[in-house]
Amino acid sequence: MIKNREFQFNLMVIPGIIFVAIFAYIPMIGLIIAFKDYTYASGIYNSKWIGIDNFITFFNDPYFFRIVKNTILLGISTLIFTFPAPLFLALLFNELRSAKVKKTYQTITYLPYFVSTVIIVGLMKNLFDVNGVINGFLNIIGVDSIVFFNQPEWFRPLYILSYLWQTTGYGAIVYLAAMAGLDQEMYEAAKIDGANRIQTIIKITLPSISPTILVLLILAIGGIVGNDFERIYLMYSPLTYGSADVISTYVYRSGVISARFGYATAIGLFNSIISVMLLWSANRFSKKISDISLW
Amino acid sequence: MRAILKKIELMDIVVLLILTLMIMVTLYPFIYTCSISVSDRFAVTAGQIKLLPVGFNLDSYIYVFKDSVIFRAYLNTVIYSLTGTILGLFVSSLTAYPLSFNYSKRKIVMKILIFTMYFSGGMIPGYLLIKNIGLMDNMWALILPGTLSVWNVIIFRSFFMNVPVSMRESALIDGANEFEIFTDIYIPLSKPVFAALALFTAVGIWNRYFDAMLYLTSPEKFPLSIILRQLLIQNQYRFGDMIQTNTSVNSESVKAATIIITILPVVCIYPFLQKYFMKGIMIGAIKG
Repeated sequence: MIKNREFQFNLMVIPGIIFVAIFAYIPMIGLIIAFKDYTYASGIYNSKWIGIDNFITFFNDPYFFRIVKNTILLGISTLIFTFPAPLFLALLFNELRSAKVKKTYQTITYLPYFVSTVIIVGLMKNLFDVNGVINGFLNIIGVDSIVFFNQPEWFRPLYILSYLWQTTGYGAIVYLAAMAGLDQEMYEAAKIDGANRIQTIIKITLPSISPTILVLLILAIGGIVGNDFERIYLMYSPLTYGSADVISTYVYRSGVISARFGYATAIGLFNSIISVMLLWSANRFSKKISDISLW
Repeated sequence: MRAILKKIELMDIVVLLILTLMIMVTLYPFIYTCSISVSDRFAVTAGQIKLLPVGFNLDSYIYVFKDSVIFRAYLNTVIYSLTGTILGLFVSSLTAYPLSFNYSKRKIVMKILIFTMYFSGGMIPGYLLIKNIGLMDNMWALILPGTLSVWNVIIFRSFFMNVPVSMRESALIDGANEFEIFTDIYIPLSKPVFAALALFTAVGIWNRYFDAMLYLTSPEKFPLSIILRQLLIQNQYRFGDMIQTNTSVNSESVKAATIIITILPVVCIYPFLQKYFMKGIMIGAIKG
């Protein structure tokens, strides 16, 4: 009977394992081409082994400095603005008295999350168009029209804005869930002690959900160099490469467009390693200063 | 029960004001687009639309539904989303089932699955894989790679583990095999989880565009996102002859109408599933 059960269990996990083996693990093995002079014709085995040459080429690439700088700047500035936003929103929601208003507003705030990035960026391009609504407003207050999407200096703000618009509402859900699980007695006690509402937030709510905040922060730091490729790809243009071109977009152009597969894979691998290092450091640091960590 | 204070403090007003402002900013682009899609063509061209429609007609929508490319893309998007969701949820839940019990290989399978959440081959090896197995320009290139979502497996597993053991035990005594227990007991009990994950999976595929752009080359296979990109980002969409002869639409209102029909199904459905996916996120966040 038990043997029969194990056999059935085995059967049940096989499809999942096959999918993961093919679509997750085989590409991982494919990373090996980062160390080879890969051509599509020769395939993986027959391509010449060139060790870390691809990486050296990358470090000497004329665009190396630009894309690394952009990746880091974009990652950090995104983190600074988009990490606190969902938390701030959740705190505001938590202070709402009316449950009905809270639910309605919440539902509206995460609407953009369910809308595709193509549409979000498309809407932004429309609004920020030279003849669009935003410029119309600027003109009224006496400011000349700005061709937003062509200026490198506007790329980061627009990127962050689209990111905020699309993900803040949804991101607040996790914090709200954490807040909902808090012990109400603390709040009663604070009220008796005479704390006002802002003090309550700072001294009770925030510390109580700090494990959640920290975990999400660790994950976010690990993702700094990840950069939302789709979003950047939709928002950038050769005119804005100066600030918009990041590692992942460069990998795309080198790999898929120019077919320098080995080279592009090497860059991607480099990026992944940095990401893991960041994640690991953030986790270690968090463990040192608190009890909270991912592992 | 916490006493409800009747007194309204300054804080309440400030909070409500800030939130209302945020709501308005969040909604504005959507309302604006909706207005453009139903407004009079000349008002649109003249840039008169700021928030509310000027004039009213549904000609843009009629145009959009008659356009064979857009219609085809809509159909494709529906097919891809449905197929991907059904397949994905089936495989994910099936995989999660043994992992919820004392299965001999439970730990190692979990390790295999979770590892893929932290590390992956990246864009290029993924691309080469699809090429090498001959899935280029094939709808399955969009669906198969994402079918087993480890996240979904974890969520299903958490849920399955909370199902009372007694149900399973009595079924086993009655001589049922695991597949029967899975389909007759666990799946019906997991309806909320299925609902929530179905929403996310379907929306994810509905909105996906990069994979489609990378792997699909035949226009008749394009999903809506590609068409939208051509329309909105690249300004490259070739409108058929209809637009020259049809005097009550222009490219702006057609763009707007296309956006609205793309987001309408999602917008209509997601509020109803809110309570299910809130639970899903909570489980995911805590377990993750």
